Amino acid sequence: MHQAQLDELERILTNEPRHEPMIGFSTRVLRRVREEAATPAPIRFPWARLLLGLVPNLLLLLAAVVWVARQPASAWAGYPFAAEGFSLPVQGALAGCVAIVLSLAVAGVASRWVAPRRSAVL
Amino acid sequence: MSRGFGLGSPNQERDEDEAAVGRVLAGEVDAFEEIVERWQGPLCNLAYRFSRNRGLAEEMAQEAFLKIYRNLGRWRREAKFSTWMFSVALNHFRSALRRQMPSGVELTELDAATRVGDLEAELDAAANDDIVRRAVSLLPPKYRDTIIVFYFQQQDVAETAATLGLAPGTVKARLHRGRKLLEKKLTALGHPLAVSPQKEPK
Repeated sequence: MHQAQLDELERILTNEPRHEPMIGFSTRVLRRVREEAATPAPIRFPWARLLLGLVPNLLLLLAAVVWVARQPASAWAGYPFAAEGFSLPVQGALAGCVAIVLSLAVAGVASRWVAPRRSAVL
Repeated sequence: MSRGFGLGSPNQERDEDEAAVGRVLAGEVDAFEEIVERWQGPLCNLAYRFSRNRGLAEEMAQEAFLKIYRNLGRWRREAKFSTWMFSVALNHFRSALRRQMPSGVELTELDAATRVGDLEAELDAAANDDIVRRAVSLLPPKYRDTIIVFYFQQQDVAETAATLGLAPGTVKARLHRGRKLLEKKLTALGHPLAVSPQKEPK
């Protein structure tokens, strides 16, 4: 681009006409801001609680898989999930899933029992 | 943007912005009015340079102010408030334009977009200037943003770089490449960037 063209571009883009905001613009913005300020902050997703529940459950699942894998096949004769065709790690995973479901159910019941007491205190 | 918009001195502006932000963060929501009053003109103008549509520009500026309000706590005071504010606004303008305008809009569609179908009007200097400005707004985003912010910031490379979050060298390179692209596209469209005799720089 030649200097003359650069100057022309500079003239065009620097001297762009200014547009004043329409009457009431700031009022509209401030109304939205006040609405925003009056709205309670959204409740954050409880990532900490989720991790607190998830990590022990995953550890439990892992421990179950390892433990089951170390057992002799004969130890599982008669158990309902010891169906033929499932390898020991799969059976371990099934046992772990059952453990997770049970622990989540217990946690759910416990949190319902704790929550009303906490809100009563607050 | 005091130079461009005839507001108070930069230092005074900076102090006033800082004080107003402090009050908003302390819970005085009405103090945000000072910020809106001071910056509504520049922000609407910046939005207009991106959208080339007054209604859309005001809508974009309004939403940008809301984003600025929500994120006031994130302003690190090492940067000027205006620099931070424009960069928040810029991010919003980019995403608003992505929603408004399909990425495939090309400069070949410029005439339809500008509605300057009349040959006489096209020859008119004002219409020609408008075509150049619209051509800038239709450049690929990285060149468009750099050119718009550079001229909006009164050709201050450092301020442009701070607003865009880029290194000054990158800004210079993008300006160079963007101008070349603009020249090429305008020439291909039959609107070469020429110097009109009455506007020849002295």
